[in-house]
Amino acid sequence: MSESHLTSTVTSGRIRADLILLHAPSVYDFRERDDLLFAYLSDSDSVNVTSIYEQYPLGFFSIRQHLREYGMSCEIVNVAALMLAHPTIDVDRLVGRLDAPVFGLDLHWMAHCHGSIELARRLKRIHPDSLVIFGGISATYYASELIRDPGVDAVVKGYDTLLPVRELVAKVKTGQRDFSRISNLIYKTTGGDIEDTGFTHKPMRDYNDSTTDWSGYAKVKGGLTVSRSIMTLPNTGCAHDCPWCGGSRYAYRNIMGVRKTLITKRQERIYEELRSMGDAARTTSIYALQCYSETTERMHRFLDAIKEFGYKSVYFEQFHLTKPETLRKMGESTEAYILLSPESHDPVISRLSGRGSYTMEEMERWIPAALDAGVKGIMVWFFIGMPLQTKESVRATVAYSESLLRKFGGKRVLPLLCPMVPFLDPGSRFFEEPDTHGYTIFCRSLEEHRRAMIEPLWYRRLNYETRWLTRRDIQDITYECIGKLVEIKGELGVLPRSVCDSIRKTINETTRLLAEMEAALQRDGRLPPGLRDEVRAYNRKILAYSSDQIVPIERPFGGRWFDDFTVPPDMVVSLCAPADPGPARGLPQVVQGAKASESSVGRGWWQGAMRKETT
Amino acid sequence: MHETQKIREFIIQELMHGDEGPGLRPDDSLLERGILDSLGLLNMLAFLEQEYQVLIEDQDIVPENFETIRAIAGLVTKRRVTAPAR
Repeated sequence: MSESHLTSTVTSGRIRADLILLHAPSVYDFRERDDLLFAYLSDSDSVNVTSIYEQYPLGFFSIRQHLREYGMSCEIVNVAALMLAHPTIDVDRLVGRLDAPVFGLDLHWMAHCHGSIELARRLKRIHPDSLVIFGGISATYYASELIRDPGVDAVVKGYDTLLPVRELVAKVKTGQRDFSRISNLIYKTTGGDIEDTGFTHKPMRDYNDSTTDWSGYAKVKGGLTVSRSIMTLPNTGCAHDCPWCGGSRYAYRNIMGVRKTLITKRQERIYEELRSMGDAARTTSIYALQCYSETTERMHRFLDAIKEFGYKSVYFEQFHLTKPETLRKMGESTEAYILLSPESHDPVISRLSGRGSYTMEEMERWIPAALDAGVKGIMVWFFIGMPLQTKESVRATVAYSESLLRKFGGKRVLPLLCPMVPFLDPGSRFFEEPDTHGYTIFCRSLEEHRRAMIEPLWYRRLNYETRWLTRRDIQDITYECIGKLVEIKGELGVLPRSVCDSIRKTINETTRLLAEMEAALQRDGRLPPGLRDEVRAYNRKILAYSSDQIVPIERPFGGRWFDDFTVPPDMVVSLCAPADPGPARGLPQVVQGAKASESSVGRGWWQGAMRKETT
Repeated sequence: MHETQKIREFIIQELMHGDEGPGLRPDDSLLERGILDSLGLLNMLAFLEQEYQVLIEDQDIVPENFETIRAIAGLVTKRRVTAPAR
């Protein structure tokens, strides 16, 4: 994935392209923060990322490919992942080595509202003549506010920005600054005025019509704790209307101004993407995003392709109990796992959360049929922060989870629980109509969210609470109930005892630190130096690896599709502190494979390097 | 039953879902063949703890210890000696 394309050049010294897309950490600079806790579970641990949220949107690939098809060069630099993997990397110097007439940042998920804006300001300071642009769902929602930031030159609105971005880059690279004829933009003129070109480019078919080429990633060997895994995204918007979701029908109607809220991608494009993995498909997993919005016909064709290309396993997100015919095809096509998300065992809460199309009794009758059809495992996700949900209700969900584990013997049916963090999506029905649904909203503007992201305690980071659970309740019940669920899994042999003990220890340490921090803040309005040291040490430990609740083991960085594959290792070396041994276990080793990239020195290294950096 | 046989049986039943394919030998690479991935590793750890009453520590979770059936059996032997079951 690091090969040069067209006019872009990636050398040890500099990276040049017509457009460089950068992904920022959620909080900038997380490496130096001793005043806020990157607490375990404060990112919900539902996917294999840290609370820096180092995964960038798949749309980056679409933009890069689209520009290349039109003769322009584009590179992706994952600043967040680089900062995690190489703790002493000098980001300002890294940015100084990037040359592009246009830099693009994502503000797709609101969790990046602090880091992306700070990175944009740095970009603007270091490259004052380049254009800094933003895109994504959250950027679209907050376009008018975002453009007023001194680090931002333009916001490209919409769910499919291939055309406006291409037109913008084409103009800028030839020195033109009149963007008045490019749709979907809000931008600053050279005189500093803000212009809005409207929001008219809203393709109703063939969403993000470009092909993600995974062949570069196919060369990355999977490992013991980091399995090679890709994602497919067959559509944007949604066929469903979950009221907490910023990608729901309600949200798309309001944010994007569209009546048709589900726009599909050409399946031929998806087949090409799947084909691009080649033989590596046999040892690659797929996380099949948003296949809950696909028609049966499209889903079955997708399953045929999965089978044809021989993918090892696929994780299917499903909102309904999958029909027998589709279950059978899933079972025949691959090692299939289904992710259900009833959100609560309580049918009333489930329905209020936008689900509730089946009861737990119906699900329990469906599970044996799914397993008989060849599905290898079923994950059942429950959510904390839903309407009518009390502490007792969450506890009852855990009790229900235990019964589910006992009934199905654990391994093949796995209940999971996570809090809705850090934010309720702006644009969602609950955010826009809080009173009606029992919600209180603490942050309305982008700036309020940006400030919330650097609150010391994660419950104060939340932009919402409900009539039934305060923010503090959400934090407390999260640790209580996930701790309990882990304990049950340990007792039943679903999780190794050593893993359970490690999680319990982390939860205990986290809750103790949160309590001490809260007490200090209430008493003195600040954290004492000794506690700051503890916070720093904790953060370094928790950010030294990634994890998730399905596979709750510490996994070293590298080898995930969204890790950085652009910045060459020798360039990383030159940007790190002299004492930093980090690059020695950086990108080349990921490519070499598991043995080198998963050395047990990994976890200690982050902490060691940081100590060297700060002393 | 010898460790390698039991581990092999577990792998075939739980990780290969009963489909042994071209055959699985004690020195075949479980990682290169894609048999043992991160989810499989978790199941393997739970199996080893339950079956052999050993505690697999964080530092044990390295590819060298899980590359082959023989390596896993070696880890069990090592852990039996150095970390008796609780």
